[in-house]
Amino acid sequence: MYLLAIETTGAFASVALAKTEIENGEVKSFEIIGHIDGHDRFSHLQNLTPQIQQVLSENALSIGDVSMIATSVGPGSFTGIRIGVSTTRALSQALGVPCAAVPSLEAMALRQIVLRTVSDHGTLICPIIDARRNQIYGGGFRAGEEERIEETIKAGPYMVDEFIEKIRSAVAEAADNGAAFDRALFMGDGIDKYREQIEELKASCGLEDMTFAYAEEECRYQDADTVAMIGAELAAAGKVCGFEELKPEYMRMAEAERKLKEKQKG
Amino acid sequence: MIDGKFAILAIESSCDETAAAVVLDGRQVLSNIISSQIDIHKQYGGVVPEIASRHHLDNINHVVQRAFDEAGEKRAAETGVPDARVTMEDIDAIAVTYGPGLVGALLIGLATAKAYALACGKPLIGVHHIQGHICANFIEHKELEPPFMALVVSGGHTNIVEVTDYNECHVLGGTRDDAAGEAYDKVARVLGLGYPGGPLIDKIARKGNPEAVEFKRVFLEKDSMDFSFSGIKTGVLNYVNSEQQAGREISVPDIAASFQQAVLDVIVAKTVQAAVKMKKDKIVMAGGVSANSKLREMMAAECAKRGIKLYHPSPILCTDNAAMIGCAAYYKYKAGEVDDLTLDAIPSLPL
Amino acid sequence: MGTSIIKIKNEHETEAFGRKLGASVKAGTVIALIGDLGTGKTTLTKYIAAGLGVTEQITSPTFTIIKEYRTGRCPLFHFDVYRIGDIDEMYELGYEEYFFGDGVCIVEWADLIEELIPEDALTIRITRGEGEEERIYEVT
Repeated sequence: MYLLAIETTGAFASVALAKTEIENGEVKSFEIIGHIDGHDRFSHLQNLTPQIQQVLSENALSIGDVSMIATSVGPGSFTGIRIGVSTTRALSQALGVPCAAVPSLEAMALRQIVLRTVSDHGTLICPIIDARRNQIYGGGFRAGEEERIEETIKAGPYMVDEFIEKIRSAVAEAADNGAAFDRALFMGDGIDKYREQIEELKASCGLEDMTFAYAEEECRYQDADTVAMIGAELAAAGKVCGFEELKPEYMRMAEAERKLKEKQKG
Repeated sequence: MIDGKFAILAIESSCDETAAAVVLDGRQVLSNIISSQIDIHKQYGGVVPEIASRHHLDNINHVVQRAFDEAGEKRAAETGVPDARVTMEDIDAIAVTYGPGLVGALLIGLATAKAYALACGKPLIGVHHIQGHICANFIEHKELEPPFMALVVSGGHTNIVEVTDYNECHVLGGTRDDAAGEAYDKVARVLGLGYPGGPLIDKIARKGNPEAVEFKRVFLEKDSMDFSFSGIKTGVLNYVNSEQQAGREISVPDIAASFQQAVLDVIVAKTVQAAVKMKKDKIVMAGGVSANSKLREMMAAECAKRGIKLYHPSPILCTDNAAMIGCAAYYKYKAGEVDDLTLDAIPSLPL
Repeated sequence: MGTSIIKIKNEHETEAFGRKLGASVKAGTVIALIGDLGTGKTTLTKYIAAGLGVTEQITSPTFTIIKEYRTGRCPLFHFDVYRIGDIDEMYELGYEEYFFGDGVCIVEWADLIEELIPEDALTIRITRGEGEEERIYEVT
């Protein structure tokens, strides 16, 4: 079947088309046959639907050939998420096809494995998305078996220093369990904004000896390919939904909580 | 096509309301669903959804489904075919408001409309919200055709628009500060009347004396077709304050009536003056405030004196709704004005 | 940040104050305007906008809640939160992208959403003076 994947949580929208066979709760085959990257920053509303149209026509397919839509539901750009989710809900409603809600941070982490910037179990993969005001949406993942990833630090909204502290404690725990991390690899637009701060915090929280690496530009951001991959896995596990159940995952930090944390820091 | 007519699914989400409608040949409404007016006691599929204002993302798909369902019911009733339905397959074009309005609201309607257009392979037509309001009159009055002078008055807009053809119009004047509907709401608040202010003032003013208080009628420069209502809002406030400070009781009906008279004197005068100047023998009213009974009465009187025909929509078509958008889209389609899937939301879209 | 009290005699002085503020305000600033109906919040906004170089007509955003102006030296986002029911609604409107973005935000009735106004916002409380035209601006 043909799976359409949509990613609009970052500055650039991307879409992917995958051909996949799912049998007995397993992904038997999976191939990305089409991919379109957006080139205009934060122009999701204008470009998303044309991109979907393009990826289909480039493969001589029509929208009616799509059996499932996997969408990155967040966290990330508030407006971007809403455009992606609305578009998906409407397509799903009109076509009568199911949706899969893919967490953006997980898709970003998986990208490092797919692109082979991570090939071992010793890397703590940390996607971080800028949430403004010294906050990020972040998570920590470890490569598992066969291009899978496991969540080590719960994906969520964090103050930057809070997240580094989470890394420190995840690293300590892993070392205790005999599955040490020898480096942390960061990706996402959070790097663009908070890299300096991260380096400072690294020094001050006792992680001086650990390698902090930062993904290169070409593999740093969100992409629809891994959204498609995770979508296929979700479909195999029966974790799909109708258009009414597909909701944004803003990962919004409650205002009161945010102010408290800001005060505690200052 | 539905029963041989061009069928448009229209979507409107420019501000508070999430609305969808199915409209045939521009003027026949099969369904007109507005989120705040959905009877929540009428069960849909056993689930009563939460309908909240400006929760467009949550509302829109359900509102569209309702529009299809009710269109199907109406079709069944009219054709006598009991299981007649209306689905996306019957739709010939998708219409959507792309401005002006709140961008976060517009984008939900637009993203949804584009996806529907892609899914059913039909054209997408973007509509200007105010153009939609004007077109509400084509639905109400089947024989009405341009050219005419239009007055659009609502909470968010006060404009005099010269409409020369279905897709051709010129804004002759607008508000320089508050819209008329907004002035009503704010004065209603000052008078302790509650929300929404317009209908409440309209009602209570009937019991009051419109000459009790002299509020300044603001006409601006000579021959200007612009409006300014923030001054009269301040005037009412100052009057109420000074009366209360002097220990005198205020008469809410009198103040409401006097305020309304001052506002409507200006609106009626400018609109009629515009029609006469531009040689239009028809005046069309649109927008929420055009449901005001006193405004209709005064306009009717002035128009009768000059042999000008007056038109206004029924109350449901005065509020924000999608049927009016479907109508406007139909005439754009007929003129070959179709948009492509790169259509963007424009919060300050000019007419 | 200290507080200054400015006595305004009439609209001309509002204009002078507003234009000066508009000319010097930095992109990314939130200006919170607090004052009752009729104290001139929108009037002040018009002049701040003029100072920013906005050429479009500033009209009341009471109904649309947010109006965007892009003809000035940086974008101007004019809010009127009078009709906002609860804080969640502000989130749904994407207020974060505006308040912490690249433009200047002017928020009328900011006291209604106090907890969302950034710590480093410029707050102007407007009260009436003795005469009808007079105002007092308390600037923090």
